[in-house]
Amino acid sequence: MSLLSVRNLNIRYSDAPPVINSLNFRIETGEAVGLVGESGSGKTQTALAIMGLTPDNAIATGEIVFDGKNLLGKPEQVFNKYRTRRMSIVFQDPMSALNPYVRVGEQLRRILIQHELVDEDETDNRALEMLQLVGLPDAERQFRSYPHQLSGGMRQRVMIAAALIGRPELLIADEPTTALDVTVQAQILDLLRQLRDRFNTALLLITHDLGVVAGNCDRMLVLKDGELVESAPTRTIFSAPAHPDTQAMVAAARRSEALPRLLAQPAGDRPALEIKGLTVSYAVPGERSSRRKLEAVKDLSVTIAPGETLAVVGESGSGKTSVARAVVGLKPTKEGSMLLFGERLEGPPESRPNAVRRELQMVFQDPAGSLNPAMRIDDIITEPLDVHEPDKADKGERLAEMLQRVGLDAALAHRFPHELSGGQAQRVAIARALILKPKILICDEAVAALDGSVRQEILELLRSEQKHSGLSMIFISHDLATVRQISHRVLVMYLGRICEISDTESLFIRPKHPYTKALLDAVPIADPDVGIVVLSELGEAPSVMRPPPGCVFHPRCTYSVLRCNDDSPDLQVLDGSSVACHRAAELDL
Amino acid sequence: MNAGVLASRFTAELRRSRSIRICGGTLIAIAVVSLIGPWISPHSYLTTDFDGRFIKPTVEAFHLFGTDDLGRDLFVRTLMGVQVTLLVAVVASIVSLVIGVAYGAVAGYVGGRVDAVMMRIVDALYALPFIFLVILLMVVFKRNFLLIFVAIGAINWLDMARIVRGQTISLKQREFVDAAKLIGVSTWRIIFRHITPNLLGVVVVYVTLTIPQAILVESFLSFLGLGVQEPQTSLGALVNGGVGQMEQASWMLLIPAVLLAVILFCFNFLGDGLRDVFDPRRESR
Repeated sequence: MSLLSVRNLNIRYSDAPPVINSLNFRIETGEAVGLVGESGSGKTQTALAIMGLTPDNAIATGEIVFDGKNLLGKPEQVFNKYRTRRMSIVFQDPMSALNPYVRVGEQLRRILIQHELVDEDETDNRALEMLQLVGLPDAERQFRSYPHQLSGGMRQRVMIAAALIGRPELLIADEPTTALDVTVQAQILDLLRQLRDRFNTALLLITHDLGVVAGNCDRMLVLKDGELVESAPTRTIFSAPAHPDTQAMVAAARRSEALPRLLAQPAGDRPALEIKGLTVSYAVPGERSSRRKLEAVKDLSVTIAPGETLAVVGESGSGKTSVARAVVGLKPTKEGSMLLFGERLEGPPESRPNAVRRELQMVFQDPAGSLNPAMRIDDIITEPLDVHEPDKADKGERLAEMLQRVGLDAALAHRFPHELSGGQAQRVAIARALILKPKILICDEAVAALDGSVRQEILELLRSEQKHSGLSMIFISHDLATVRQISHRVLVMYLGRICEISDTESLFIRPKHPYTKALLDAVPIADPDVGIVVLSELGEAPSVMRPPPGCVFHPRCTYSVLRCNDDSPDLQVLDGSSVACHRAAELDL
Repeated sequence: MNAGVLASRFTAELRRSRSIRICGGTLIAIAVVSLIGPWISPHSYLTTDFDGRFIKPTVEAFHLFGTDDLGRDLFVRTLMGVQVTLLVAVVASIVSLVIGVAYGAVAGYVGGRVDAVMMRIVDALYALPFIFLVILLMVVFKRNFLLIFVAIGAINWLDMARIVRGQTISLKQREFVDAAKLIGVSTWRIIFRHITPNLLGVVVVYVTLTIPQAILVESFLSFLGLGVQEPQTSLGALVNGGVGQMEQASWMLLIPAVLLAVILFCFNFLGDGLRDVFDPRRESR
């Protein structure tokens, strides 16, 4: 008998089309199953239904049989006997899943008391033991910490501890690593594997990232619009996907590894943008007396040729967004200069001359947030024309041309942003940025919020726009796979400093900085045959507030020597790349 | 939120929300009757009739709400009072809306020192006992009708300014404002074209909640005899008159008091219903 068996599950909200349509699958004891699909395909709805968390206004029919007993439609009291003791869930965002007012240890204790798992006087020990088990560094101290005092990765470890504290037979992990950096993601996935081996827990891993499934799951379920389109062993799906949608997903995942690169060639010898010695700092709130400054970017110099794409990558807190915002003027710069075709860029955007402003445009991460919800699409796209060329009469034609170029249906022009999908909204944002024919486009995580196939389309659009108009791009991303597809050169940042600047291909084939190597290794590979790359004990990034002395990366670096502790390396040129590492020449990474 | 979105959402909500339908309908009905009623009735609001004092509500001679201690027809006077009360409330709310939104949006968007000074002024005004001030003004200016609007509006805009400022601060951190800056949109255009339309929801909800507040202040002033002057009247003044006669003519108190309560009730529930319409979280549904 299966541990969990979902039979003919249907979930719908009032009169809308069903979000889950006759879904059938089973999970055996100790088995790891991946549930993949794009956003809106019903992955999370399935997880919530299994845990009995379906909202009250949903109508669910069918059967969810756990260990021989149908749970669907049963009251809370019945579910509570199963939750924690027999099945648990880990959500995507640990910050919103933890109670911000209660210390971490106390939260675990409450679970133990609520479910009467151990005697009252043993709860402290058991909770602490669990925190140690999930590899929380300095667990005794963190036991008394509040959630906001922990980093994202540590919070997710606490969530896993909370989920596994009752030794459940089934763990549901709903996008457990999506909100985390790649290096941390690799560690969390590693932890899940270890714990599963130890407790023989079955796992339902929900994700949109095939790379995450490839190394972690025995079997895969592919959802599409609430229907199960394919269910097979992971290996089979990767080698011979049957359903067209699965084929497209697998192809997209593979493409991001070895891709045909069809980039426009950079042209011209005069740099489009020259950044010299850029330093961006923030006043630290609450520490005004000591005048402490947080240096988000320190002494960064780089040039971008016309028609070139420079990718800026790094973990969160590496300062990549600060660079972008400093260039466009949304962040005041402390030191350094920026030249746009020889013209100095200074001050906030309001004080820059119109001629400069129109050359430099930006596309933001959150497509919905960067469009004014009160304006119609046509007004949003043509607003730059109203500002810069109010007298010209060709507004309508240019709008039509722009809509066509970014692949939007003209009928959408009269809609409002909330009526658009994420991909459509990002196309609108791109159209708005390109209508003035800028020379430089800055994309700040512009595709991070989008699903796989939509992401490919937007990247394709950006590539063709570059060919079409020869614009330069600064492409900020934490996702190396995306970067490989779009950029000519890559700048790797760590705690506000440059680690390495290299052409894209040589960076991926032969990284020269240990941090670049660590980032590359952490990317999950969408191929079950490659197996799992076991990571060295990388740990998490230190706070930007207190950068370590010497080489900022040395506390996490496997190759560090004594010199790295106090001597900060300068950028040196090596085989056409620039690397900031003392040992770059001798290491073979 | 834009007029188009609002209109479509509003009609959708109207279909769903009973509180908007019932309360909005009642308010509209009261307003219409108060406008038409005096035309239909044969009586005038200021004719006294000393032979017909304290007539109980009756259909006879069309004294639907009875007559008062001076023999004036209470039906016409009550409708008159409703007109004045609603007028005062709406005008006062518009005054508070215009001042409050402009003040709050500028303070919130410009920020920094300008914001600090502007909001300290608001804090200082808060510290003044406004009712007391209004009473003084009434005494000095001989209960000018217009002054009541201004006085009530002047009390309410402070709250509005604070709410709008808070909303503006959270809006200006949104990426669409950054995007507008990069395009080169001027600060004024950002405030009026990008920020203000997005404030509409909060503001409309808040206005429906300030109207009852204004009604209460007006009634309170009139009850103290400082509001509308005889022979003009308002619901507050009628209640005041009724209190004096409540033992022999209870209808003089009950009818305006119940009407006042119904109007306040309806505005408050309408505000609740509208808050649902304007809640941005409902967009996703």
